[in-house]
Amino acid sequence: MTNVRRLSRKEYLAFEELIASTAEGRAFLRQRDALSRVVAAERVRRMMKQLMIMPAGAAGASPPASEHVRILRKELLEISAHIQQTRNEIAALHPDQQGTSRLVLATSELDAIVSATERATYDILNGAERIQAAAAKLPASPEIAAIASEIGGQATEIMTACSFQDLTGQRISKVVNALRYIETRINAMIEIWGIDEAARATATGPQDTRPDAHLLNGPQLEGAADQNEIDSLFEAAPAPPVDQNAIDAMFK
Amino acid sequence: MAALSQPVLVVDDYSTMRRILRSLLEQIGFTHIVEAEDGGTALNKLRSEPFGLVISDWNMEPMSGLQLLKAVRADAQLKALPFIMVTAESKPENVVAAKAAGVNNYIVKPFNAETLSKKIEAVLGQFK
Repeated sequence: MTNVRRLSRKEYLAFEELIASTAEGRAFLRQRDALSRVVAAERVRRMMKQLMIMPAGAAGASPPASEHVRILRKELLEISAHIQQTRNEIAALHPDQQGTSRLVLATSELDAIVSATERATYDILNGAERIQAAAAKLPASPEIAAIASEIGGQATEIMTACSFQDLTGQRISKVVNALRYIETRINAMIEIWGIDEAARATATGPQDTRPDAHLLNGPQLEGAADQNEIDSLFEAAPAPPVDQNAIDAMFK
Repeated sequence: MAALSQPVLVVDDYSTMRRILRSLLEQIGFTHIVEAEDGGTALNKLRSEPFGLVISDWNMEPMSGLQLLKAVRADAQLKALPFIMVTAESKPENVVAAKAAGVNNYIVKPFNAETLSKKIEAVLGQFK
């Protein structure tokens, strides 16, 4: 019989480090780990199956021993259910087939909020500055000067109120960073649990059942048509004119 | 007023805030306002031209407002420069840390024009 030499822990780590020094080596190690997980999971499944089909008191087991087997089987089934539930929950958070996870989408939406509020704030500031400039041009009579001063003061209040954009931007940045952190941790969990495509496919999130759900996407992040493009669509294919008689006919 | 002719450096990573501060400073009467979007850029500007006042945000990257303040106080040429922090960081420990670093005054966002004017007046002394 051939003696199979076993590597010492030190030797094993040294070989692993050597393999991990290249991209191909790291890919090999990842695949090996994934394969090991599959093999281990398969072994557990097989053991559980055997336990499931083993009748109580089988193989000449004494009554207390068969009771232990029954309890062990029950515990294993519960653990298996928990593991499957955890896998499904993590899979539900994983990017879908289009490569967009809900966390990534949420992050993009928050970024879009920051951009939109920044643009809106600029418009408000422009308006406030124009009001101030207009107020400064009013005639310098005593009663009008008081009104002009009041208008200018209120325009200044509008401007300082626009500092909300800085505060909301900072708060949203914190949320975005938290989401990115969660995403990293989830990706790490997916890697550890070796969640495959099949698990992802079964883990669907909440579904919108409205008949026009495919058209309800909310404000677009990119690729949205602006008003001019929408207007040109209407101009290219003008709706046929409908007179009152035609409308009345629809209600008969 | 001599103080109003002094150049003011406004430091904030949000362009909206820089614009608001610039507008308020112009209303107060300052005529020469320069902007920087982070501490490092601000420090380079401070070392390349004279300023009479710095109004800086705290939370900026890569160099924060507190780092800028410490760099200013550690610089023999700049250490006496009036420095006001305008920030959303409103915890007492923040104010204590800024004070320990040598800030002249501290304004919490959101603020109004009157608060800004009063703090500048307090720092520059002769401002009316």
